[in-house]
Amino acid sequence: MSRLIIEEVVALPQDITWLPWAVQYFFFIGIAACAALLACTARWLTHQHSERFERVCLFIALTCGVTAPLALTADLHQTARFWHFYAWPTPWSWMPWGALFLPLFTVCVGLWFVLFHLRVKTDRFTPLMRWLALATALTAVGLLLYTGREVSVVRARPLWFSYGYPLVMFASAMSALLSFVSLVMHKQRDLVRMLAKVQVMTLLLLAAVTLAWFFGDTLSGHALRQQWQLGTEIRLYMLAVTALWGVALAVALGATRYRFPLSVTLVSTLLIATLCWTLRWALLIGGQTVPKYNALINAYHLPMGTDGLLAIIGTFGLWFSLMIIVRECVNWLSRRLQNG
Amino acid sequence: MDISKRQFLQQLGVVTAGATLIPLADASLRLKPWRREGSDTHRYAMLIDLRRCIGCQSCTVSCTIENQTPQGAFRTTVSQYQVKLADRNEVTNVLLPRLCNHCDDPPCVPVCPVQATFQRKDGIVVIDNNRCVGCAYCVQACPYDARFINHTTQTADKCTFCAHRLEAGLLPACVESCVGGARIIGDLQDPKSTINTLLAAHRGEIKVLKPENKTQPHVFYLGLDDAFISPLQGRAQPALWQEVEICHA
Repeated sequence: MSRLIIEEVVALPQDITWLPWAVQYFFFIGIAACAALLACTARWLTHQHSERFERVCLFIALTCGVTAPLALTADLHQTARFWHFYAWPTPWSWMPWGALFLPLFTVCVGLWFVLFHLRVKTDRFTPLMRWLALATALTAVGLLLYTGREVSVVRARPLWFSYGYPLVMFASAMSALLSFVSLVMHKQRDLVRMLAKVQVMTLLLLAAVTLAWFFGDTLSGHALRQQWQLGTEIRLYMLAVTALWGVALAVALGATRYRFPLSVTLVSTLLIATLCWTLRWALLIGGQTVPKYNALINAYHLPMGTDGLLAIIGTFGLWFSLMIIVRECVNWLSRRLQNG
Repeated sequence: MDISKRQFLQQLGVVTAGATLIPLADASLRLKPWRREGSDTHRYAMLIDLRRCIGCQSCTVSCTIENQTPQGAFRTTVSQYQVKLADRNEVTNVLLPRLCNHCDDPPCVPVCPVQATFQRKDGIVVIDNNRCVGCAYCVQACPYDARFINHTTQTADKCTFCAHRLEAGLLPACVESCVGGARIIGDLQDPKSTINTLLAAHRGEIKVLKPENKTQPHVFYLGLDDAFISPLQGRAQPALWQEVEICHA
């Protein structure tokens, strides 16, 4: 039978409705949740670097954990109605679980952070911190689970419809976190070496899950391969992410043997953070450009305003400001505590 | 003034807290969405007889006028394709009216985080846009591009089979204005309805879009070629025309 040639003459592309705000949210919340998990591990383990490690992870968890929900609420087109999540509890949808886990997580991290820095004065609460750390870790697991599943249950977007999605999100966020911690603690050579080993394993896990997802005989695997074959924008993202991953792995492998100068650590941290962010951008924004039925793709042009570039710059700016404010507050507090 | 600011605020707090709890009390413990409003003595569905569609977009226009959708946003459109066989020169048009499929197992409903989108007992999927938070989760979950964010209301929007007109005994705007009488709406619960008669008469030829999504669509097509049942990306040449991008502030 002869081949059918179809030309699409009139079709309406669908708008991109999950905006760069969502990418920012998934970026920051993933890192915050992973930071809480590692801080909890440090609280329960006894090691010469445990305390400083916990301090750094808590700092990242708190600053990212405050930035993320602010980005998320901006992604709602009716931000002031956020209270509807509590007025109409809907346990069968993944999204409203965020309304439970997010505030719990932020409160737990905040409380833990305060107790940690006031531990000189609040000795009697110190044993409580282990349990608070555990509770925070549980909410972090909840966050990782809900953020991963809320996207990966959407069958209408085959690109997202995979168990690989939450795993890739987790591994990439963990990778970004490890690079941040390595950067802050670059003077502790043995710790940096150990973190580099964990980084190598995390990057290998990321690659293994991604390959299984891409080559899997699933709806999602087929969709990914189709985008590759069609040579769409998604293919460019795949190439960019692979290149970033390769460089990140090479640097991490190098860091397990050699001591790099701060500049190299800084560049590799930026590369890994870019890898983590680009993955989210490619899947969330790129994923929405794939048409559900039409031949025509849903084109996306990054606007310059608050729904586009400003959202990205603004959330990173907010994070940097928070880091400066929190650090200055902690320094001020330490001075007060030291001086009695 | 006979009420102090403090008293007023206290009472306001009590009223607000109480109002918040009303839906909780109403809801009881449920673990999946349920159908509400409308009558379960009806099950509305639409049959689109493509042999009668001339692609005039009357349905598109009448729908936007009836439902006042913002410029560039449509609850229904008619996609148009030019089709030919590789070894033949004759070209033919395929016209494909698109709208919400009012599925029996609608994937947009269970994802809604505040139960703003729901299925009525008569099968019509609607949105309570006073409750919708505009998260666009339903827009992602719909396999038929049937939903969009209405930038006037900043909430999700979609075809409702013109439920307000059906309740007043009128036909949906798109059905009313269809030049060729291609759109037939009816009640599947009524064995004598035109839609039931036509569905029975053409049993083997009735198609739905993307049946592989297992959503049980209730917009049926008569005269649809198998080539158009599944997504077209990679199998069709993209559009020659597309909506000009409209920037919304």
